[in-house]
Amino acid sequence: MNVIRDVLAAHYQLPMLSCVGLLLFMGVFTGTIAWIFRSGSREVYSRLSDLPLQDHHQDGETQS
Amino acid sequence: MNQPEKAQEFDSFSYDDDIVKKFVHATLIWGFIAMLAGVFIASQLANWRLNLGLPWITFGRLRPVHTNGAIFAFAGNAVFAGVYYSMQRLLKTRMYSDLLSRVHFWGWQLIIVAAAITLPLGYTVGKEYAELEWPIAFAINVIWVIFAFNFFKTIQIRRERHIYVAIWFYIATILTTALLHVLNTIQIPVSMWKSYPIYSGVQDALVQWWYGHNAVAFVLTTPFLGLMYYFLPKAADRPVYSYRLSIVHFWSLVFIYIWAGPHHLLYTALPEWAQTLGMIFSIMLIAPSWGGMINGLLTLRGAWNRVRTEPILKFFVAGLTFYGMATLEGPLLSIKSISAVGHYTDWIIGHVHGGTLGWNGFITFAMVYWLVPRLWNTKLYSEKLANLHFWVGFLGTLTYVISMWTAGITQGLMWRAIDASGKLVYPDFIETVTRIVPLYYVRAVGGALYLSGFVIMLYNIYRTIALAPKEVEPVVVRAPKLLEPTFEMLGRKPHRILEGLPGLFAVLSFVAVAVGTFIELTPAVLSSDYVAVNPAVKPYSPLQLQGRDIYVREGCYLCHSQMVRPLISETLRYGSYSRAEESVYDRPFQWGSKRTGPDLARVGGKYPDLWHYRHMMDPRDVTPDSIMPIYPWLYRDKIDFDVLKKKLQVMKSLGVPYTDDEVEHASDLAHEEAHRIASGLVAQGVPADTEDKDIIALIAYLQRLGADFKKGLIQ
Ligand code: HEC
Repeated sequence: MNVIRDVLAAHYQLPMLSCVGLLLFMGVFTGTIAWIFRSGSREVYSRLSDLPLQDHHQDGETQS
Repeated sequence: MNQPEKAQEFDSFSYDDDIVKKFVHATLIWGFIAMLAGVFIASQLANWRLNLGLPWITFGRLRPVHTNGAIFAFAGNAVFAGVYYSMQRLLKTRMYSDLLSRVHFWGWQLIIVAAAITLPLGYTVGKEYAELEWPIAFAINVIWVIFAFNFFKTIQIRRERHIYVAIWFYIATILTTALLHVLNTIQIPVSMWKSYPIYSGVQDALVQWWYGHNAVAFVLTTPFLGLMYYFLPKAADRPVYSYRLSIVHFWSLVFIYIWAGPHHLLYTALPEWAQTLGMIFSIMLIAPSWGGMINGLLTLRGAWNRVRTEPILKFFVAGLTFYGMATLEGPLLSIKSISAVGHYTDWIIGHVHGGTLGWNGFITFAMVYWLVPRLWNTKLYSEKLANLHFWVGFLGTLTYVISMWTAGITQGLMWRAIDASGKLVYPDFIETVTRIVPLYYVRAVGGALYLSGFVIMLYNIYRTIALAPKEVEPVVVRAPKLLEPTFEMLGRKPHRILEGLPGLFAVLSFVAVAVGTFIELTPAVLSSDYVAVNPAVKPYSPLQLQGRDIYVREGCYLCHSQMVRPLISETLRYGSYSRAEESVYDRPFQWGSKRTGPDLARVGGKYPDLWHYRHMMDPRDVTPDSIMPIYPWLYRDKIDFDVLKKKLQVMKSLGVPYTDDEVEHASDLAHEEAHRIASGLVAQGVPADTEDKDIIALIAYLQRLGADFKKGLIQ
């Protein structure tokens, strides 16, 4: 038993980590994609992408 | 406004722009110094005489001044300027504490000054971009924490619920850089200006390149992407092309980057699986990088006509293009067969400068040209000069990069060339050097052009500031108070609330980085395989250890590797490939990343002591066309015998098998060995007072390199 475990450990443990990493990344990636296309996201993102343009002194929110 | 008018309460406040101005000044001043150092060391490689025989400006000591200066002083201050400007506006609040902002500013400048003084004096840890000795490294941690505290507190007091993507990039930068720097600089002090890393050999290499690679990722990439996502929309006067894409860009980049470090260690004694891991993730990096570049370029949709006239947009477009180029080239260089040719050559130098001059430099210039007229409430002194700066800088970058590609590929192929009988076509290393020296001149010209462009900018910016109105009333901003979310709002739009939870996002991005770090580092750090001590292999003798510290001090590792890769052309040239156990006593590891001179892993015993004695005095004495600097001070300065006991003590505490007796008599042992080496030399006509000089310790060390292997102690 121990021999089998050692052999397995010797051969698969570390390369497995690459697979674990790739799987984790797949998870993160698909999760992100699902998240950004959730319903109602369009309006949030259009407001968000406007943020850098909002601090012009002439716009409605600020005044000098 | 979505919220009903009656719920609105307004705050009046002003932004702290003074701190931004301070960081802009610092960026410009340090940028000049870092680039000047760069042009100077480039010229030293073209013509060794420029080393002038002076210790504090020799190539090996100045090169860290250039790299640390460019990364932490120029790019670092630029990032801080951009972060302080943009975050206050994106979050609609002044910084949490003006005092902490100033402590951050002055602390950081003090650190840079300390670096600029200690590095030329030879106080160095000897790991690339982590050279600063422990007191300075510690100060960096403290200042960074102060910056982070101020930053997160500012997020807490914001008046804008939503966190714009630029801020995510800043958060990732702050958290990851802290993690990287703290873990890589754990070292045990021997004295005020000397310490040994707790990691050795393979472990040190892995931790160092996990750090080094991610310094590129989290100091030169993520914060600049944050700046790009803020300043490009402003300069182009339109929102980012796709906000969705920016989110995918962020998470993919933050997740993947941390795994890619081992691509700096392909074909080394690093275990195979870790190399493969690094290669796979490096190649995957192309996708998010290009996603980001495309997102940036498409933000200019409909504004391309302005690129022709406006220097700021020109810098952005060229910067993004260089980013795309460098992030395609990097993954390509991570493929093992390409790395086999490119690694240790000037190709890597070309690659790095495509990124730093083209991407970091140009984005910084765009930002400064945009910021200065607004901060000083005036107009840019001259658009014409800014356009001139662009073209001179662009030409300089191309000259630099192309000359280095040519030099790198030429030399890489010459090293590998093997004729039909199985022999090296260019067995003399120096042949491969003289071939590319003309290109070193071209590179120096490229760098000088880039620097001239920068000087044009300095003139333009300081004229702008000089002509600005002296007294400017701070602008008072009014913004609605941030209302706590009501349950009604929570029920209607839960995702909006989540999007506004910076704490959670910060934790998630930290987890993404930590997972990669954990998987990549733990096996190597915990496994005893890479630090197994072979009882037949003795640690360095006290004198050799002293010599090794001189090797580190003089920055020899910046021109010499100590890592023979398992490639036919390398084993033919240098001898059998390097084994992991050969580095177990190496703190820091000195595998190197560039071979301006030949690999030294097996140089022990290759030449007699007298050869080294003459070579270090003037390399041209034994190798006529050498470009290696001269080291006359090694023949004047005396070996510090007294510190050796302390050094051995520290080493012993780190697990190096010195006996108590050796520690106690370290100085005597060193004296004996020095006497042996010196008498041999004196018998051959060397001056009699050489015995206690640095050169003797250095020779002792050089003769040890690879000696265990040659004696058959290592299989
Ligand atoms: C600017 C780059 C540079 C620096 C810095 C540098 N070297 Fe060199 N080194 C070279 C070059 C090029 C050669 C090949 C020509 C020659 O033999 O001088 C070389 C050759 C050598 C050799 C002979 C190797 C062989 O196998 O023939 C030794 C030993 C050596 N260097 C030691 C050192 C030491 C020790 C230091 C630090 C004190 C140092 N070098 C710093 C560029 C450099």
